[in-house]
Amino acid sequence: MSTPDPDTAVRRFIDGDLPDDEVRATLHRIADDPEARSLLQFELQMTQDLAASRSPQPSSEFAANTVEKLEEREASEPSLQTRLREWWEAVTRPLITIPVRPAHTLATIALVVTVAWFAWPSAPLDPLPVASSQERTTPPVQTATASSQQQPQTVWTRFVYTDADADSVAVAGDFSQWKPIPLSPHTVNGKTVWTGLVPVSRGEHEYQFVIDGEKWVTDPLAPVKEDDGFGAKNAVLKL
Amino acid sequence: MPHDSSDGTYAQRVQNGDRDAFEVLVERYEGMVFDLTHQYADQPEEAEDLAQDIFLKAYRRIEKLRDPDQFASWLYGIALNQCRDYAKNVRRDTYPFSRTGRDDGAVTNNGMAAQDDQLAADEHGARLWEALDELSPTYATPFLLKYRDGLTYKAMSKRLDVSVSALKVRVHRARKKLRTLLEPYHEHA
Repeated sequence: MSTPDPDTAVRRFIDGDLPDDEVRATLHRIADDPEARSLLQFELQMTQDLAASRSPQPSSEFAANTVEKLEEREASEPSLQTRLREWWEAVTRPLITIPVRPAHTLATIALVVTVAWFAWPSAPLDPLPVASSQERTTPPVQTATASSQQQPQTVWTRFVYTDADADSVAVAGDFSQWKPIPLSPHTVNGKTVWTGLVPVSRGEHEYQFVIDGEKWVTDPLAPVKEDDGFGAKNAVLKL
Repeated sequence: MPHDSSDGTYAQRVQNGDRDAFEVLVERYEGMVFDLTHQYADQPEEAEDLAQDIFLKAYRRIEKLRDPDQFASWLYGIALNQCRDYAKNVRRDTYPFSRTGRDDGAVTNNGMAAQDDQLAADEHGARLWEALDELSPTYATPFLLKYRDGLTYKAMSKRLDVSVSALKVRVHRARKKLRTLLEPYHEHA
């Protein structure tokens, strides 16, 4: 009887390739080899994990619906002209949109003109036409836009906490002056998941979840945690 | 139409304009793709939309698939990229955490969650799928067909047009790689 190396022994055992009379000896061989033993243990664990992670399966019409969708897409395939226009709109679309009131626009123009006046003392004497003056006023406007991009931006952040027994879950952090913001319950794969979108400014923040309005808990999924000074830990959120 | 031909046969038909052949391929891989999208999307509806987008993208690109027999691993690669893009966009917009909030394998602080078998099982499953992301589609696909879909090596061989012995080696390599990736986690779990 050939004696395969432990690795091959495990593979043949798992794949059911061993003749009956070799199974016992092979199992002994696996048991004696830490590497092979560990691989077999992993096989058992992994099989369970994969079975437990099965998601809800697609409906029986999923494939037919997908093919139907293909037909719809093909029928509504945009013309070359439409695609070009969409491409142009995509590349020229501003990355951020700042709402501006007409009064602000007038104030900004007045500010730009004033800045231009003082920045170029010779400007009033310069007999350049209006078009050139407009060129000169362009840089301060761009600077204003650039500086507005440097303002702290708000990021809508989804907080998630799983708890089937809670009557209410909220998130509280320095971004809310530690005032609890309620989360809403959802049922996902049979679990009660509390979730909510909260506007948080860019930077580093600390927070905790508040269960039933009284119990403060650290986010178990937060990769970084800091002492809160009261014997518990705050989760750290970096945006 | 008998549905027992190889993926390559159907993929080739799709390349030649047979849309019905694509339905067979969707039926074959919808479960695998669903399992993957559910690891990235929170809501079942989002996961289903994501799965559908993956198949639509595959259909649009199938002309570029040089070897139709590679359909399964090619599709898996598309699915993985689409899921990663989805996660990137969702995270950038709203979700600053990693997909499962990796905690370096440490036991979570939430005692309640640790006691919850379902949550623990979900966590183990999520770790496994994360590790699967690290494998190339050539290894991940036969691994999933064997363990997820329960296909025999013979059925897999027919579908993928790869020999049984080659598939066994690929699955075993996938198994070993996953074990290496998940070892630190299992030591702490």
